Amino acid sequence: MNAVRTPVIFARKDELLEIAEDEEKRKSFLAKMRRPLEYVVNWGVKSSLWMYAFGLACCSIEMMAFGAARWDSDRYGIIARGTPRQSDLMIVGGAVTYQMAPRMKRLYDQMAQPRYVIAMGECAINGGPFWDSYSVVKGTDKVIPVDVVVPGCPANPEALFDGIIKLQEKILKGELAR
Amino acid sequence: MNREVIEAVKAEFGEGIVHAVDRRERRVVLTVRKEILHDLCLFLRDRLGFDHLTSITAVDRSRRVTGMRERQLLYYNDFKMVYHVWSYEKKTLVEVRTVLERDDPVVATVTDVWSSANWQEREAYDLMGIRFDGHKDLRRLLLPEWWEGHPLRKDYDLSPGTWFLPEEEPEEFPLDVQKPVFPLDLSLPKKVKKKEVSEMILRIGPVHPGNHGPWLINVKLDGEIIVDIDPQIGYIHRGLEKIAENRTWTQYLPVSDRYCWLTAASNNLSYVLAVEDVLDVTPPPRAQYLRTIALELNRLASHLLWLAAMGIDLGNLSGFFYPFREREWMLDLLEYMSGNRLNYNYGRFGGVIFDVDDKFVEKAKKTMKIFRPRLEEYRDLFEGSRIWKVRTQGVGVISAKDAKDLGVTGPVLRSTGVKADARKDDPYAAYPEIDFEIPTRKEGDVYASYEVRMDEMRIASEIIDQCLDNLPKGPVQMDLGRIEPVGEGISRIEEPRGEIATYVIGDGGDRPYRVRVKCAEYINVSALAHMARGYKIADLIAIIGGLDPCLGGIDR
Amino acid sequence: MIRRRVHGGLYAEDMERLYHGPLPYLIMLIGAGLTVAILTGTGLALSYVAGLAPEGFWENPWVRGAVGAVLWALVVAVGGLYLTLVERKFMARVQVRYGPNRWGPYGILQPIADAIKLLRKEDIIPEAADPLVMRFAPIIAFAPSFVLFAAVPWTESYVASTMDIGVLFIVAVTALTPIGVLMAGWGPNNKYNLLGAMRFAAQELAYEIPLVLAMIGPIAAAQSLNGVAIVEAQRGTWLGLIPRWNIFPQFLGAIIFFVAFMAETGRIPFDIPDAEGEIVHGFTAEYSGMKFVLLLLIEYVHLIAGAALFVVLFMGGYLGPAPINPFAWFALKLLLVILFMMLIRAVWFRVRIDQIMTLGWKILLPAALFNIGFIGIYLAVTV
Repeated sequence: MNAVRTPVIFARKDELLEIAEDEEKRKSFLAKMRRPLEYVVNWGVKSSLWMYAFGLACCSIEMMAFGAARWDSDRYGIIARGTPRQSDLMIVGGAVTYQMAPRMKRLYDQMAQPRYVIAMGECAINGGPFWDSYSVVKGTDKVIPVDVVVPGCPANPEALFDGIIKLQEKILKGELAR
Repeated sequence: MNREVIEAVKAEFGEGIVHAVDRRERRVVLTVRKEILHDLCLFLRDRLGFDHLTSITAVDRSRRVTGMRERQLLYYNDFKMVYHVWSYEKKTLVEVRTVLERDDPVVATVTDVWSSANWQEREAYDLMGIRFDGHKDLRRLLLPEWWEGHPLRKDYDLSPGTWFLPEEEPEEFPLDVQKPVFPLDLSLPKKVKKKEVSEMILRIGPVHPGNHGPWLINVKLDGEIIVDIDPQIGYIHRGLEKIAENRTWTQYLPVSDRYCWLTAASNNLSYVLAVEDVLDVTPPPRAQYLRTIALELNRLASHLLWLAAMGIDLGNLSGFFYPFREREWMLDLLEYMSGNRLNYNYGRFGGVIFDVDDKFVEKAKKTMKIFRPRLEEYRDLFEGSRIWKVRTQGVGVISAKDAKDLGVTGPVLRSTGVKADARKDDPYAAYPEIDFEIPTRKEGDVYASYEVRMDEMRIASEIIDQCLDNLPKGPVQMDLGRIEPVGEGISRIEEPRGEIATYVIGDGGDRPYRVRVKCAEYINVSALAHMARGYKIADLIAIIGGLDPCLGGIDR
Repeated sequence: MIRRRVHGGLYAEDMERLYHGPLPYLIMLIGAGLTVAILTGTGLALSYVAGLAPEGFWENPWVRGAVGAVLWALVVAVGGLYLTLVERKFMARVQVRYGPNRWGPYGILQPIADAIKLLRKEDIIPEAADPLVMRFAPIIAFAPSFVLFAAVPWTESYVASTMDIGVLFIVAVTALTPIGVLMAGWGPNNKYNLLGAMRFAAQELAYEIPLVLAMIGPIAAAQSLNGVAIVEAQRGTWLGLIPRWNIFPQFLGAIIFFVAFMAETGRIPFDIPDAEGEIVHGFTAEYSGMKFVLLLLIEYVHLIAGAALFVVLFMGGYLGPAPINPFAWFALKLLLVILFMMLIRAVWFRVRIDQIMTLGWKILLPAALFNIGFIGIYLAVTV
């Protein structure tokens, strides 16, 4: 029996180049003058991360708990939007299969910049408990660029908050030039 | 009862029955020739009243490719089909086995006997490559069209080369969606039948807020009215049945939690009970009671999440937050018991993993005491709103006969008036010793299933109270030594959405030879086309919500 | 290391204490007091500033128009922005949670963060879209809902344009919004956008008629279309106790008007143009960045406008007893109506589209016609 020819999906190379160019720009003098403004903008972006809950499996339930009364993601200004166009943060929660991966890539492309991705849970990080499955992509980062990973199976809402705070720190420092 | 079934079948078919075994209470095994399979199924349904097809399993009976300790079981180079059929009247499970040739695995379809066979046969075709003679719509179900090979066959190549992605990016992603096929060719009901029908196909999904998970619903519409539905599933098909063959019996326990994340305790226990069926052991009473508590807490958590999802689907934002508040309490208790919030991994062969202390008993009792009045709060929030009634009453109506034929189980079946619950009919854990009732309704619409679930929540909390009061002392786990079972085992338990059945085969090795799972929502969702036909597109959201799909259980 | 930051580890009985103490009510009382104080202060300050101008300065329609436009722009922009915060906090309280509270005390910087973020957001025009239509749709949809504030009287003197056909002008201008929304449905070439826009237009059309018919009652009572005149007609009390607001004799009309403007706003239970679970935010689905903000603000501007109109027509506008000045009275009544609508949004379900149409055409329209007859008889008897 023939093996499966699985499709390959990578982060676009030009995106990586863009990031590198931005790094260069930041070092210039003018960029330093822009710092305070950048800080304010970064603060705005980090304080209002609207999430696109790309919940696929167990983690989607914890994502619901993350938005529900006990944890209340709204405290941090995080609300769920149903359309990728208006979202800043895609939380991938669950095992991404080869059938789902192209669609995830398309949804990521539909998001307006600046956009961030959190891989939530073991499945989204590297396949997790399904590491030897024939149909699961071994990691979201093989498809779209991932900013923060939140381990756990499933990741608790506390852990997701931890990931969000990490992401916010990164945004505020301007480490993520997207 | 078992003898009656065997005698009736032998009298009718004679030579066709190769072997008939009265295995134990409520379990009969028939080994039959391939030729009489279809007639036997018809006979079972019409004469003996076996009206519910529990599961269809295909087994590849060849030697495994990967080396592991195998002994005791003889290997044949062929396929075996196993049909589990349940009778709501006789309360007996008949297992029908038949053997197919390796080169040309063809068998007559039973879709005309039980409509619920449709998806299961498609799945067997998809994953095992078995063709069904007379099946109208034999497509791949869980894997995409471009997939090569049948993964559940023992000779399927799972070598590391294919696990990791090749380095070059292909020119195009295979994003093309399967062309929807509407094979049943359902005609419109009379009330909406017109002379000119202008049809439109709308694709809902695979990622859509009202879908409860990633699946694609192809809807054929006439204006606003649904004519037919072709759901496309498999977007999170993780190949759990294949994974089982590469793990030891114990290693598969945590994976079994993850069929469906809302009912982890039921899934886990279903697997544990199937293995205990092979091993023929009964866990100590305290473990049985703890299992029951975990199952019922899990049922509460699942139903509360269903209520929350129903609220947000139909636009009530508070309807989402209130049930979630109480759900967190249930999860707290389960976390206290097992150490995890969602995937508890609580059951073990011959018992449970952890014991509970008095503090837990106290906390659980307090929680249940506060919880029951909260149910009235939900009733105020939901039934108190006239819009809720208008949106759900008379929507998604299904008759008891159709529900049985389509294999629907759980609250949806009970909402049509059938009093069927594996906890009573086919008892397991501590349920035989507990006094509880089974709520039913007559209407068969979304509102009726809501009422059934609300009643079930109250009853579940009462069951937990009873268990806590009567919690026996003693050990919670048996020492079974090395787990290397030989033979077949089946378990059939009532998860919050209906009947989950696990069928395991052990060949004496340290890993399962075959594990087959049929979750309730898998079959329930296949009935969507029949339930939603003739209603408006906006009702589809309510009907899907009423079915309470959980894509993990559907795709596995 | 993950620490439990929130109320992790608390069980049912602890949660009981947390949610059912007296503290939330105390905070609410203090908040209400503060709101009254701030509004009264603003009103006094405004009258002081207005009084500094020379005699006859405010009679000039150009000056009134310009100053009114700037003031209303501020109110609508900041109000609309902060209304999102008020709504989030208020609904959070209804839903046993906190709402935004991390950025600034009580989350008061949250709308500013949202605004900065949305300004910074990439503005996508999809390949298959009609770029011109997609670009102009939010502007065309938003502009009329802003213009209608010209005829809404804050107080006797704070009204941007004292036109005699004020109420009619408001209705006429509101009817322009669906054109922009339909463009927003057509432009991006997305099915969900189109569905949402069609639903919005159908709903708007169905409820415009009962809305206008319900307005006839107060107009007839005041015998004028001018906003100020309609408010002045409600001055005084019955038996020295009950204010002569139109809401008491014309209760049916008030209900019809309230339902109709709730439907026009497109909020739960009538939020089918936006229905997230069905058509994924409807006509805003494909918009991002500032264009999306404009489309989102339509909802909030409609909310303010509808509530303002309700207050003027049925709740005696700026009238009220002395210690609180008229400006604050108007704002308070406005806030009350808006909060009531938010409460409804928090606890009700969404109606199906055919049920909405049925309600509009088969129930509200006949009821509104009956109401006119009833008001006619009532006025003939009392006046």
